[in-house]
Amino acid sequence: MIPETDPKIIAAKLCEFARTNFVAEGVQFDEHSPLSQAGIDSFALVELVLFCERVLGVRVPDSHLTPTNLASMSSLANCISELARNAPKTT
Amino acid sequence: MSDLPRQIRLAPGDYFMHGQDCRMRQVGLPGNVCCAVMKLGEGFDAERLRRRLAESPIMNWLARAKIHRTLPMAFPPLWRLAQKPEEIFFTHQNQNGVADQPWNLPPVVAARKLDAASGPGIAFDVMRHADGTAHLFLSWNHTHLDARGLDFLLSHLNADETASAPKAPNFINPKQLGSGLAGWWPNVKMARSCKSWLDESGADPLFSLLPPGPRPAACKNNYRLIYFTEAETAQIDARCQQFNCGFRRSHFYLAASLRALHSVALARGNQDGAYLIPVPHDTRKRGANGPIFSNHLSILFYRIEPKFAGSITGILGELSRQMTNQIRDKFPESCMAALDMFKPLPLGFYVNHLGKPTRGKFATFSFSDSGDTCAGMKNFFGGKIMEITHLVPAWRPPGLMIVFLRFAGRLSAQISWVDDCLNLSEVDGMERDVRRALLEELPA
Repeated sequence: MIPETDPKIIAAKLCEFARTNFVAEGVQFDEHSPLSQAGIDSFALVELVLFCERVLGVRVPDSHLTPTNLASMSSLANCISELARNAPKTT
Repeated sequence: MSDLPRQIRLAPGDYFMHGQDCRMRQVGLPGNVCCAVMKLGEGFDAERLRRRLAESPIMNWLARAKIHRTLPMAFPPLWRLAQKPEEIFFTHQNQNGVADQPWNLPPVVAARKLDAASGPGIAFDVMRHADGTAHLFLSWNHTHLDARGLDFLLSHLNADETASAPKAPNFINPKQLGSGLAGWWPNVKMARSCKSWLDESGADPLFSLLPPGPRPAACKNNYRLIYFTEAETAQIDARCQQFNCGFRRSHFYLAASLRALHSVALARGNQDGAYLIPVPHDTRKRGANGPIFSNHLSILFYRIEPKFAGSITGILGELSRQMTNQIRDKFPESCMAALDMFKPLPLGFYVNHLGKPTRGKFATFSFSDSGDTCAGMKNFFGGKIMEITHLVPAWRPPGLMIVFLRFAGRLSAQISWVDDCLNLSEVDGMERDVRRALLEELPA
């Protein structure tokens, strides 16, 4: 699996996952919404991290789950993009 | 709201809470009955609240809903409405004392027996104080609704005074409608993985607070409340970041609680008994407008070995690892499926299967984090909301329950315990340890 590296595509996929799985219908939520105000908790965070592994092909280590990277889907997407670019290439 | 159903299925979480309710009554406890205590400022209009309760179709439905079982081997239990309207218990009494802490639970509240099978499962009591303030005690059987549901219910009742209160809240999850057995067999398959996980994680050695010997006939629940100031709460939030768990505040609270219990266990001579902790998780979508009724909870179980329990960092690492693995393995879904599977069977099957993997111990303690309570609510029927506390009884087994909640930027913790499982000096020690772990201990 070739990991996605475009932060905009990653952010769009993260937002879609959040809207489908843990943000209620009608709640204003986009890539710039603060994750803490959207009610993202430990459970949702783990689901997001597992989504990144499964669908985006990027493993996000605990050390990268910092307040800066988790400020919004946009900042998380930037972090994932960075990890994807630096990931060792496998064939 | 005139189209509310006359009967619906129990949610898996309801079944779990009902099972705990029955177990508690077996040892003389009043049952799985919680109490939300609101301290209200001058101007609280109890008469207006009474009228609102009488007029609300949601309250009417809640008061009439009872668990109904016929032909237990053939049909699942149902929530069914009583034919006659049931009146919500409502007492209103004056007291010439002061409203400051420590306050005692009024005897009428402490003695409330709210049974989900005989109804009504909810009661309101108001106590007026000489200084014009009041305490509102809202007691409810946990089988009817969870803490988040209670929040929605209070917003619904208080709609005129809650800026963000929805006009027509989502009362019942549509998935609960209908009473068929469709989907029962797939649940059996999914439940197997939950059962094998419980068998594995419940293996000896396991630390339990339950004293050896036969089940006692008359136990008593006790409560200890730990309040943190706004400044302390801000300090705890900052320390969550220090421990790299800004989005895992619940884990930080759980780690502090477990570390405190570990000290008790060491003093009792525990060397290698692991700690098994069930933690409920609200499955409602964030920002959802309900549902009010029922328990929308999945459960994660953590097994922490004593070698990790001596440090907050060690516990946090284990919690993070186990939580990720369990969500990856779809454990919460298989746990819900297991509870769903038991519903058409006599309650004894459930009690037996849940107790068997741990040889009747069930867990070391129960833990919950209710999060922000009554967010956005400043007044309740004319009185300023000054404080909210949830009194959640300890189930037996395991005999100890720890619940965290926040109100108006202040954190509080409740330790409830069954009198034959912990003694007062152990609880004093736990309180000191919880405070120290949350406010002082440095990351390893």
